[in-house]
Amino acid sequence: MNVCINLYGPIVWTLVRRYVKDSATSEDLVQEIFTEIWKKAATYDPTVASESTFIGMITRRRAIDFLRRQGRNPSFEPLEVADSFPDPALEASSIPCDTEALKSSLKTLPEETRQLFHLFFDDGFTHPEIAEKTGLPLGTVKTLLRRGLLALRDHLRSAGITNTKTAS
Amino acid sequence: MNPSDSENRYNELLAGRALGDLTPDEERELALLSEQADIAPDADLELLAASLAVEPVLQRLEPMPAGLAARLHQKAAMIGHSGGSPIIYPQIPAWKNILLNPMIGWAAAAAILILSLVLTHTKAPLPPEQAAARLRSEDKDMIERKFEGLGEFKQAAGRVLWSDAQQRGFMILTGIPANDPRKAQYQLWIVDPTRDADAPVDGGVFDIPSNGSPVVVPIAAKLALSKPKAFVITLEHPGGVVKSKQEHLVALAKS
Repeated sequence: MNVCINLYGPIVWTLVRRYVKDSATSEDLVQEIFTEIWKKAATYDPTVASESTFIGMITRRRAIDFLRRQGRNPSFEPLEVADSFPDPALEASSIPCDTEALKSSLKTLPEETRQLFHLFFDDGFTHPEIAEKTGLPLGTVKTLLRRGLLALRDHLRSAGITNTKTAS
Repeated sequence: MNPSDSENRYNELLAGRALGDLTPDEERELALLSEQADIAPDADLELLAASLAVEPVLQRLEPMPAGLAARLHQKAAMIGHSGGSPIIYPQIPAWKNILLNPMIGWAAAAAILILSLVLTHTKAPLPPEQAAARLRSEDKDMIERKFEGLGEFKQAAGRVLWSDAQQRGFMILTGIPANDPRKAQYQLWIVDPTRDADAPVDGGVFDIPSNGSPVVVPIAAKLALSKPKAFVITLEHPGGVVKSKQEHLVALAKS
């Protein structure tokens, strides 16, 4: 586990810092994420994803969930309307993607969508920040990112790519 | 909405979930569509998003703060030396893939933990009293407190057992009404005197089944604990909350 911390700690930390600006909160969140990584280590399947993608997925889930709950805290919603939605199962995944396959599939997206992907994934900008930078309406940014991700998935599926590793 | 529209909308919401941009209304819509379609979402979109997010991060990694790394190593040491846990943990569906590929980096990193988990989980869980005796024998300084029901949950009772040395513990609970996990879940909070008194540590979310028998619930503390002073159970949204408003206090155990 110490090897795991040394290898993947910087990935988890760097990813979390993209979502959470406060340092102390980020540190607490990283501890929670590692607890979850250790619990879910047993579900890791190297034929589905690389170690860094697996850890990246858990990190993003927790960070997104953290932000979602934070945003919701001020207005405590009635229990009856609270939602419950399970985490998608890694075992059910069918589109492993290696770096080259991803790069190749990205080229099939429209230029505008590729630009939004770059701002979102590479530069770590939020949707409102992207809207401001590009001049696109916020809803359009959201829609293009979603549809781009779906198009990417569909392209990888139709290409029948079977190797799942990104960098490890 | 015809079936094709529903499917498109469902996929769009799944993509939103993977991107982290769902509104609360959309989350509810996704849950509803998922129930109607009666299908479990796969992780394809999340894996894709993770791949796309991790790749650039690898090019500009920031080191973790030294203090955080030290705390993680400390926690790892505690978990690594706590083998033989008698309590119930989640199922392990795919561990064999890692054990069959010992040269894989992740497997090597996680092998010690996985092996201890596998050895633990292939055994049937011990009955509550045996589990308590075992934890007591492993840590003579183990903390043990009685739960008392609060407000409308006066019938709630039980005990909590916690080992600082092993950073693990569990609760044995009775008299707590069964919950519908789709509507609400119980959540444990732990007051650690070394931390901010207004921010108890999240001890994990759990459910109470309807069979009425004592329930053994492992404590899933999100942070390392030191001589906790109180354990509080609340009823919260499904999945729990980051900070409880304590509107539904269920039970309290304190020193």
